[in-house]
Amino acid sequence: MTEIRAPLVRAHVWRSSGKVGFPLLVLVVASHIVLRPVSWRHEWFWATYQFNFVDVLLGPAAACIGAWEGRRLRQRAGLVATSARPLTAVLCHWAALAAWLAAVFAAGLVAVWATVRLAGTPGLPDGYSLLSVVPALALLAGYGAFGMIAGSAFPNPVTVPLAGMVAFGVTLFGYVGGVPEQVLQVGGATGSTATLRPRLSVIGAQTVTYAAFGLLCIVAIGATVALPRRLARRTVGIATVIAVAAGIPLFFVGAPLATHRPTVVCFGRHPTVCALPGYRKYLPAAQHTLAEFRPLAEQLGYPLPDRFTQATLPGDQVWAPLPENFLTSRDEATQRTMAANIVLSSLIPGIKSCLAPDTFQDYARVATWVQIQIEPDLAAKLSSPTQSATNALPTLADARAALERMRRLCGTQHHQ
Amino acid sequence: MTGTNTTQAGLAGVAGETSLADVTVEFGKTVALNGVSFDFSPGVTAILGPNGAGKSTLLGVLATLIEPTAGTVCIAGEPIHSRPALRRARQALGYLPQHPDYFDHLTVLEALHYAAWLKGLGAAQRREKVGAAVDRFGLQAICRQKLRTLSGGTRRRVYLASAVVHDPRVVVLDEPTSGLDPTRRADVRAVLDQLRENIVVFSTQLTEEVELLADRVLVMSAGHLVFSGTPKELAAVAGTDQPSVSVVEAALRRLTGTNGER
Repeated sequence: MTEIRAPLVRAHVWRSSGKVGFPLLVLVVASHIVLRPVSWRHEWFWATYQFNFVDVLLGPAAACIGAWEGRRLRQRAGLVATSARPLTAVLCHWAALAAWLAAVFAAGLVAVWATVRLAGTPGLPDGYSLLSVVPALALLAGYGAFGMIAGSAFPNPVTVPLAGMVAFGVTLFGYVGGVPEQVLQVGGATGSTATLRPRLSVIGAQTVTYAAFGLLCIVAIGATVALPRRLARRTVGIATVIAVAAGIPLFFVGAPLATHRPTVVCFGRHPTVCALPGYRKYLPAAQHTLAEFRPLAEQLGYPLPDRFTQATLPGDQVWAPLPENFLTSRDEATQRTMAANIVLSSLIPGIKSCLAPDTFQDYARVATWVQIQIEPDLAAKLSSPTQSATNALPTLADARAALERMRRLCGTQHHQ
Repeated sequence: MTGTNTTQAGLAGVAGETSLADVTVEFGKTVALNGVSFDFSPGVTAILGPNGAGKSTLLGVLATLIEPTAGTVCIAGEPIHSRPALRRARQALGYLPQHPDYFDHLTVLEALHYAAWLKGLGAAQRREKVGAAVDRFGLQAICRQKLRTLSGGTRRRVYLASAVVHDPRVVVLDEPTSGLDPTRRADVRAVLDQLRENIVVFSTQLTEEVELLADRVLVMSAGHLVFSGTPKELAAVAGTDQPSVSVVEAALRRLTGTNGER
């Protein structure tokens, strides 16, 4: 009659504020997944890293729930303070909250990975993808601890939303406030991360810093509640020094992501198009579209690069870059327009971002000529009285001249 | 002579299993306890005194919640000088604050397990002690109910059970019967009666509890311990040997110089 299974797990985890806040957390995670584009679905790391961005929303929610748990702890101060394991007690409350946060995070991540798999992406998340999750989880736990110390120090119901707002403000500051990006950014990528992967030093430094911050909060709560004032001050002082020391390296480890050459799959010849395995099904159409530009490039006097690849690194002069939105574009006309830009950029690397005088007009001239060759209907549209009154359609000679001017002003090196 | 008007010098330096030696507590410029010394022995000790006399501070010091500004505190034979000593003292201590509402979202069993765990008991010991507490406090029928669903009196019984679930040698209770109806107060007194073999210290506003429960009485006034003795000795202050409610109140008035406000 008096037996229950795992009473302490029940008392901590099952009765945690994290359980009460779980539906809110699920809502936040679901919104993050459902209400945003799923263009990440062909890349394991991109999908994972973009999902990690949920910390921006989940963190403030965690702080709110933590603040509620902190209030509860404050109500138990007499009990915890006279216990033989006050620090462990506070730690267990934090761990229980962190377990709920981790559970909702894991559920979201599984949903994201399932989406990636259902999109036909082969394989499984690689080690880097898995590792990138660790600091995101540590940061969430840190937010929870922040909420707990806020709720414990100011056990007023108003503290609950305030803790969330402060957490959100700090996060925003971390993303847009000029703070080194590795300090608070654990995810978020609006474009492909095909040639990027997390740096292990940043993962390590972030995890250590966030965990140290969380532990500092927990020690501060435990010491304030349970230790004599002088002993509490000394304990918190020592913990602060350790936490600050643990966090210092994070400011010096550099950017969270580093470039790398990924493994790609390729299709076709002249040109060969290569992309991450998740894009395999898009390669034939992409290759066909790009191949249409081969004779045009030759007419302009520049050979089309022999290989287009998603695995182009900055400064790479060997292969022409291939953006993922071109690969996945379902509309033929849009894909052609994008291909025109890709091809032009590939002929003279750097021209798209060139700011030399008249470059824009030259680029438009060449692009229009290319478009007309691919879509003869466009010539008719552009020859309408209103259009022709202002601009004559560019000829091949015009296009070649414009391209030559751009090469002189902006070009770096011609693809081989 | 029946009563003992305690002199600070007379008790200073008293050593014992649980004792306060020349304990002073200051909150800023306010002196909440002023050189209080007392040697607690097994049995029930009631602390009386008017509001602001230092009763709660004294209990806070005994419960290791308040660090004395000066003086020595010894709990269950453990002088509190260091963290390990504090930990050992707390293992031997059961404390119930005046308004304990910390278990409300737990079931009775969870609350008892949690309290036993906080006191450092291992899993096997916890099971045994929780089972014993459930039987001792008659909680079988409500084991799986959440505390917030229980009546005030029943909840108080559970709090009391959780405070002593680990069989502490020293039990410190801050007004354990306040806010309870006479029947529930009698229930709590019955429980305290069972704990008599330990050192039980409780504060109270109800003079009837001195008569019904206490083996010893401490009277506090303005941070000073102004009386310590048996209920009969307290009655003697009022000129009689029967510690009835009115006698105790008269004695208190005489000792603290108040109009019976406690």
